[in-house]
Amino acid sequence: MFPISVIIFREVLEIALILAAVISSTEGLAKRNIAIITGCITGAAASSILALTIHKLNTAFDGMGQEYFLATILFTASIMMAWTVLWMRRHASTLKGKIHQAATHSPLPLITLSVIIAIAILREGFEIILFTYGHIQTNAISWIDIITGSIMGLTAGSLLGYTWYRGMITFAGRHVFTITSILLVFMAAGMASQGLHMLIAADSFHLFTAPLWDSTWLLKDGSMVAKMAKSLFGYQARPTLAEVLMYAIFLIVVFTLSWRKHTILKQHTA
Amino acid sequence: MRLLAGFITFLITFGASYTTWSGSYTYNVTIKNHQFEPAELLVPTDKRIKLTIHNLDSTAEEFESDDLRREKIIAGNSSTVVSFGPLSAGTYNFFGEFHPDTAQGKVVAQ
Repeated sequence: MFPISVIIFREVLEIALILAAVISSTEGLAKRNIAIITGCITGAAASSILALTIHKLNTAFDGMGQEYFLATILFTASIMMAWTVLWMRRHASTLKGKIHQAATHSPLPLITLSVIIAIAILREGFEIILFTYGHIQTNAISWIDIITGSIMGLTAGSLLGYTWYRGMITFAGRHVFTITSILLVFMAAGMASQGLHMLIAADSFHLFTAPLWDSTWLLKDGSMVAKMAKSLFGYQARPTLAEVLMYAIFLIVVFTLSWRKHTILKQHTA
Repeated sequence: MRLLAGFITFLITFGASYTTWSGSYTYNVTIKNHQFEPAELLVPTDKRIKLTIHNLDSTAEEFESDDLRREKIIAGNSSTVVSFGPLSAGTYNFFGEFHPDTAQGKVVAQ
């Protein structure tokens, strides 16, 4: 029961951190809840399919199918996140935090929101399924333990994630939209650099792949705090120069675009 | 957005063109009863390493190494490849995240 609750707790928390950021940065978007639920259901379904087909994926592309698949979903999620932030900045009235009625006819932010959530769930979900299924298969622990362990992990992860979400809203106050948007851009940059790391792991990217620094002494990869820092800012104790460059370029490009769009909007309203 | 997409496309094509860059050293590891065999691998430094992992258990395992910065799910009764290196001299621990009590191993680069 214990290892199941720990693994589920960790994975659910990672999902919750992403959910909290995308949900609070799309505050006021019409039909947002439908997009969130669609994303959750799609993510859960995709997790099951991936769990069932992972052996096929692992033999594809000279054994590197999993890496290519993860690189693809990571790049997709990071671009969708950046896109959502840019769209929201463009259409949200910063005074009311409400989206202009005319702008809500575009289905784009709803689709990107669903895709981001589905990917967040897929990434962690198939791992949860395979881990739990393995324990059921070997009869290593009883059904009662699996169910209570899963519920405990799910509850603890969701509660901590929800606390983080409420805390962020309370702390940020009126600036919640700006702060969560910035956080989302950092998350997206982290995912983009993790996507590149997957291409390095797939042995198909060899430029600047030596570790740039080692901050293991400060925050060790694999620790709980490091995992959260990874989800939020893409933290790595031993990043390669390639990943750092990817991260920096992503941030510069998205913040520049975001700032430009913002000034265009100001000129329009002036 | 187009700029970003262009950059990513560049990265991917550039990376792909490098695929056949150099030969790599291949090694095999099996997982049985949630244990790695061999649990210690001697590899040369400054070489690309391809590690084929054969999971003989019926349950899935996750090969994970913070030192090598690799994590990969392996389904039950199946095999996959983990690639890493060039490494500098040292010991790099790895473990099976689903059964960390028993599944422990290390790569020693020298």
